[in-house]
Amino acid sequence: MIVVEGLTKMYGSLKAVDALSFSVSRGEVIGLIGPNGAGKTSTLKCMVGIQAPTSGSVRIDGRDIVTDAVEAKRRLAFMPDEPQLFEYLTVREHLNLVARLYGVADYAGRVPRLLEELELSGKEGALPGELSRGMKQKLAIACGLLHDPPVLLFDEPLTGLDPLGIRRMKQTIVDRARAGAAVVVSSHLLHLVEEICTRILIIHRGTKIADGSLEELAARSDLSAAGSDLEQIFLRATGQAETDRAS
Amino acid sequence: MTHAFLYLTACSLKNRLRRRLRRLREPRYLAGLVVGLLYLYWFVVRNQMRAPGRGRPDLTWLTSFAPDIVVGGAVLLWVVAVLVWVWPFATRTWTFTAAEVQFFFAAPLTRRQLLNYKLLRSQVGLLFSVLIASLFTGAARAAVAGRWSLLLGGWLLFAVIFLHVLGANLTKSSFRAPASRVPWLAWASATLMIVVSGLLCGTYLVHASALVSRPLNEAIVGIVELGRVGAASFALWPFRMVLAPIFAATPSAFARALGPALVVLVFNYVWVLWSDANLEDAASAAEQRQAQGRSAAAPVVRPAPFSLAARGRVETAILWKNTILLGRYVSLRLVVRVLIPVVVMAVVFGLNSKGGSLAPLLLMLTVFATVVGPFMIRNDLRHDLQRLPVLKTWPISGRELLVGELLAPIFLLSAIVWFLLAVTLALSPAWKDGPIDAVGRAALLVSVGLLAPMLIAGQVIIQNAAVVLFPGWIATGSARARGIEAMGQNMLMFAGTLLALGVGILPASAVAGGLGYVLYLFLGWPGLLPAAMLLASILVVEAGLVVMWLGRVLERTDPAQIEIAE
Repeated sequence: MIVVEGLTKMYGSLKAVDALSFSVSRGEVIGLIGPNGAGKTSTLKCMVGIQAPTSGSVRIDGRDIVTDAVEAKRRLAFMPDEPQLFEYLTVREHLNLVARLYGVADYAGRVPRLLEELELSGKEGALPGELSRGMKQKLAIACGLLHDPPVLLFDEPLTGLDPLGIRRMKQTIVDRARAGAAVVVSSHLLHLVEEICTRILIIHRGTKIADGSLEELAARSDLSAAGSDLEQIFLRATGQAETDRAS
Repeated sequence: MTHAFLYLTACSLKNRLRRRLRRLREPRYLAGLVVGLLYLYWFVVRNQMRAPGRGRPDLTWLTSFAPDIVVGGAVLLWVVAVLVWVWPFATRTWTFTAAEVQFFFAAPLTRRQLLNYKLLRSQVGLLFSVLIASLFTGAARAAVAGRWSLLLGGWLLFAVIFLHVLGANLTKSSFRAPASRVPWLAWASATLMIVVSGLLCGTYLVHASALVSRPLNEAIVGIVELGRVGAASFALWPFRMVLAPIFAATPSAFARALGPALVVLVFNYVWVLWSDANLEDAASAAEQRQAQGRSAAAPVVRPAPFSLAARGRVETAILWKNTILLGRYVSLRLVVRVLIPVVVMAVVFGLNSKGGSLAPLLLMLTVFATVVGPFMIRNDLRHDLQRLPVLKTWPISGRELLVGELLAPIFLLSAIVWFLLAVTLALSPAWKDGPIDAVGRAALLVSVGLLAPMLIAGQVIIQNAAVVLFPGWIATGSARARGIEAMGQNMLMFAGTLLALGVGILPASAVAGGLGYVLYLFLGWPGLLPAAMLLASILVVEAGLVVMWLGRVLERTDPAQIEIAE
């Protein structure tokens, strides 16, 4: 569903993403983790067409995000860590706009279910300025889920959510994957990644340093000393990468 | 505590200056500064450096009229004061920034200390305003005691106005409490204002019929004469005292005028300090706004202009969004601000044309809406560029995005222009003095109605193109850069837009103009209509080509490379 091949992103002379390749199948939830500045957000932005890759390619359901951008974008949704909303549109109007952009003919029937799922019922007429941080996040996610895309990309999806919201959000992600969506979750919350992701991709300084299920990572000879705890695996993998780099 | 406030004020000023100087490293600001300084030199400083009579007006004759100017100014000040008291909207006099709320409201400070801090901070802005005012009124310095008297007198005037606005707002907010809890000072100050206004209103109402029957200039003289005697003179005393130092002709006269003016200043200061109980309400309101993340310019929910179907062209969706944007930020305050100059102009035109037609004024407003409107109505990519990362995730092409963004300002301004033209056309038969007959005027107005949207579209496209191609040169979102360099930058952009528009329409205008001239010879003014249609058609094709090219540029635009204007 998602195929990333040799993705490289440069900002001037800074290489944020370096020849990154991976793929995500239907029903798979991949956790994209790495230290600050590892290139996670740049990778996501290239994957959704916000930024053009310097080289390499990203294909969404067989459509290239650069050469066939409109069709590729029609099949995905990106939920950024900082919800970007139009401060002058109400909750319902946001969904109305997204429905028109993605041509969701039956959106009137979908909206109540979605608002209920994301605990936004009763807030249809509210402006973003009247919503809490967590509710804004939920609205951004509702906009992303409205057209039921087969590819979902989340950047820190739990930011600002309350405990119940966190539980529901995790369930939403898992449910969408079970329904056949390919999901990428970028987060620093390793317990979240450990809990919901079927595969983990660790990147460091723009390069892939580990890729596989938790069991596969734990079984790797260079990481086996970390046991099966993702935090230990992450620290060891990134620390190892630093050591390799220094030597 | 005063030291802490002084330190903060000084640091803020210093860092603001440093930031302004640092941004001059960028060519756009440097070029803007050069243009801004050249403008100030050419139109302000150069005139003042000349000797009187050599291009610079000799205003020494003003000295003999200074007492009249003071009384006239006092009447104006009183009108301003009345407006402040009856103005239904909250002013920003006591607005606290996010940092001020976070640091000061949680700090062990009294309300009076907070108030003094706001007064202290206001002095920076007041002094700057006085400096600018004295620069622009420098030509009149020969009529007064000297530039320093303008500066000091000006500061006194601005300080009193600031204090009075603050005091009036605090007093108004106390009247929101139940009558039994309204403090005596609020009653006393409101009563004083009512008495002063009653005396002045009574004086002028008694002589209203006599004043109205006179020509405008004689009516003004009459207003001043009435203000110099009797009860009106007594009521205008504080207003006259505040203005007197500015218009003092000699240093000794200035010194004599300073004392009473300081008394008025101190009176207002004490009044504000004693009214500080209500600052808490204002502070909590500010805190509340802060907690809600809403600024004074927060949008207000109003019905959408039309319902948006789930299927259809995506450009319509963006038009829908941007029309909502405009409607939700338009407030009664904004409408009043726009309407006041229009009403004043209409009254002046009406008086000058002795009850004649308003058609010339409407045509002037049409030109204003066509030429300046595209710079003022910015609900397009100029507002949305900061959200480019979101826009780029939408499954639409760059051309569709651009067209959708362009539509709202073009439609709105075209509607305004057409409305003005329709009214002009309706009034046209009464516009008898012109050399063109009614049919000719109608043909002219229809031609203008056809071409105005093209000119509006051209400017909107150029502005949006500038945002895409040179994002740092145009302010995006609601941010506005300040300073001479920003003023020069805006002037450059204005000139650049008009130049680009001229280049764009010149070839087509030449062709259509030739056709129009030939048809005019045979058909008269109605012959201009086919030429206007030809010109409009050519401009539509040109605009289409530019939009297609610009759409492709937009698709390739990397949001990370866009530097948002400061």
